[in-house]
Amino acid sequence: MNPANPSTDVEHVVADRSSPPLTGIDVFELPLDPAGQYAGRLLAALGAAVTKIEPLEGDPCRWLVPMWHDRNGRARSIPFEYLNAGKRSIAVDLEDDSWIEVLGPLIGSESVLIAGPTMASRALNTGAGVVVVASAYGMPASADDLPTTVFTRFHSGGSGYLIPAGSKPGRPTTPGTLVGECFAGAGIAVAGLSAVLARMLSRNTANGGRIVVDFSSQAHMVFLEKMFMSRALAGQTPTRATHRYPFGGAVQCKDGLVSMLLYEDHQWAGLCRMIGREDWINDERFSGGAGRWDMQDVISDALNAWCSNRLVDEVVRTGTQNAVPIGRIATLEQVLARPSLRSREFLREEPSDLGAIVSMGLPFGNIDPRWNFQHLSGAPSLGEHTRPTLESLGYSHESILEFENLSVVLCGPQIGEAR
Amino acid sequence: MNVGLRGVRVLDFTWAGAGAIATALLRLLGADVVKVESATRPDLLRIANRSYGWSDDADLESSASFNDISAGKRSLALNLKQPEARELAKLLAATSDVVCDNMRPGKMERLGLGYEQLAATNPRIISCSVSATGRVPNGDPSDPPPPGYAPVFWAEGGGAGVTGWPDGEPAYIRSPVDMNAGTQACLGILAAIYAREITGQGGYVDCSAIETVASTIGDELLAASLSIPAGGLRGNERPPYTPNDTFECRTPDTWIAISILTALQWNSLCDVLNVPEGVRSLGQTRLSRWTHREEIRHVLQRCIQSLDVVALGDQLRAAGVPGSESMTFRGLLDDPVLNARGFWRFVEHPILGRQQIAGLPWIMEPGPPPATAGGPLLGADTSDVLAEWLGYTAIQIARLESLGVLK
Repeated sequence: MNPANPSTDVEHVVADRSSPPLTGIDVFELPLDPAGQYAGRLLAALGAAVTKIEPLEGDPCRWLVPMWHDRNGRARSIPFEYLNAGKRSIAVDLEDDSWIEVLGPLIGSESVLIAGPTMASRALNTGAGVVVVASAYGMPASADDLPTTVFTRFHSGGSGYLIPAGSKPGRPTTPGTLVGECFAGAGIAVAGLSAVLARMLSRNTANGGRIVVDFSSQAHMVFLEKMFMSRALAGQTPTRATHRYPFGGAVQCKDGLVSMLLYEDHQWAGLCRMIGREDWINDERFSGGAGRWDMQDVISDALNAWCSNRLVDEVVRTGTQNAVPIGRIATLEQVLARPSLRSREFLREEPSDLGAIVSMGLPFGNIDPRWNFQHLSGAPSLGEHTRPTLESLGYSHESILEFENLSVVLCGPQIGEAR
Repeated sequence: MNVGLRGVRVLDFTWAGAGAIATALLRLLGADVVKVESATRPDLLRIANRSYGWSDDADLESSASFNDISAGKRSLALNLKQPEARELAKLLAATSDVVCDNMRPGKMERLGLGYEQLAATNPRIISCSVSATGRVPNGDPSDPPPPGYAPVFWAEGGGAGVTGWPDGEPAYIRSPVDMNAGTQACLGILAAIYAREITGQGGYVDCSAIETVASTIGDELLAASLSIPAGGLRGNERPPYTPNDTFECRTPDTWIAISILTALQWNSLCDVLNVPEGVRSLGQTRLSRWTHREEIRHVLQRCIQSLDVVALGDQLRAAGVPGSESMTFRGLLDDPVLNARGFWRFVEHPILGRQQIAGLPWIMEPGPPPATAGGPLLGADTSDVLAEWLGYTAIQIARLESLGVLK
């Protein structure tokens, strides 16, 4: 693969049925929050060649905790490692537009460029055929001079107000770790790839020009709440109190917790059989969702009493056999050990500079060979690919040295396996 | 100029959330999405009022949830319990680009509509199945897979285990879990379409919703694989931001979310809230703000208790302090930024009347035409689809109706 123009000869590269589907697509990231970086990770896992164009001091996400020292003694951020697995890194002075001139030939019309709001205008000055600007509230830029964080962005979209929907509503919270950012990132990836595809299909009908995508993470979070937004339309704004499960949200068993939510009458009948209350199946008091809402305390008491004397495995197995939608509230270790995730090759043991890790592929199974787990190399060190990229663009050693001396670029150490 | 997935045909066997949002995105991107459904087994969202316990209304055409998620789709009524209906479905699939479902693994195969079965006659077909686990190689037939509902995905995927308060139970997210699974499934479909344009070969997206949840906590899983101790349930704590929390404002159950990283932001916050000098001085370093976080939280809550959430949000933003009203759905429906972007669309529904629905969460220029229609009445497009896709005549369609195939 030619690092300068890895998209050349796409048809040859993708002709192999087992090749990742986005082989041949070049994606460039200008400084992005974790949501945009997760989008890049997904695209890299799908086979795109993803390159981070970082500031000279590095992406601030390189310092997200927890930190871990690898086998070479380097301190590496675990969240950064996850979000940027399989990508390349070029470090440039983003405050000076020399980098646009130097890297110009690299970002061609077949490229996708994903940028945060502060880099939007520069992104539009490149030659990328698809430009995605990912921001908290969408462009224009004046709307996104507003300071935001992962936490405030999540609450701007409506979901934060509804969590926790547990037995005690409490104050609004936010999902653990990077969940909210990953929700947005999946949307950014769809937005970018849909633009690539739209451009391809329209070119097939003689109309392919640049496409610009203005992505709002707030709008995306609202989009994700489509199932319940209608309640507000009916004048009944959901709250944490009304949004919670009437029973079964988190039920204590002997050795852990389970979670369940019933929608249909046959599931209610199954729950009744599970806990030995067949007399409730046709009891009018428990009829329909509204009836079961009114009787939630009675149901909870019976459910808690039944589950507290049993192991999680027994409760989940019995519930599932009775068509009750029920699942184990899994710990991280239990997720890593789940057999189906291994047999589908979603998770795989891998040696790495970090140590022996369990790395993660795509959630699309392994029946179709193109999703076969493509081992993503670890996240790049800062500027790891600056020199080889400049060399492939035809710059001489002397020119590269001049760029470094002028602090236009940073050529980082060549540690780890380059793509 | 309209640019999108115009000309892409999607045969949609999805219902409820996760699968339906994948095809909803394809529709909003311009694809022709035909929803296959039957009054004998209605989509949960068609009877959302009863399904979710909001009322006992089980009318199939009065669900605003269905109207939103299915906006612009067409509806073909097909009774798949009848062999002729299943044969008809195969004929429709043979002319489709994408077939999508969110049934339990094995169900589509029993209907003769599994990927391998369809690909035998249409190698360009792209099948997408969204289920809790996806197909599991060497799965135990006596151990049935979990059902495909958001609480199961969230719990089994590890999300519930990292969300909640230290002194409380794990917390759950509802709609976004389903919708994220559908979004990732859509990503797989788009990738498969792209590859097919180059290779001519279709593919199979076997999306596990549990895995999509695990993908959103991948950093925690990576840490756990290195035996780095997990932080457990942390509520709203997110170092290095401190304070990082929600605070109740003057009107009960209105909340402001505040997230502080720097001393500059802290001092600006103190200016807005008139924080007493003793507490202000406690927050001049990040370490001190963290060490004294409980005391700081109590003081900030006292300062905020008498303030209006909207006015406070404006003041914080003007002062450069990261803060946001914890938005309610009602507030978002009226949000001026979302309305100015054209995110909210207004469509006419024959039963519900004028309805507000959500469009694409991004603006693509050039892009597909905006949504102008709501969800379809059940079976309303049956004749049109059979005529357009298969060239059926009115007589052929009438015969199928008389046999009970089209209901």
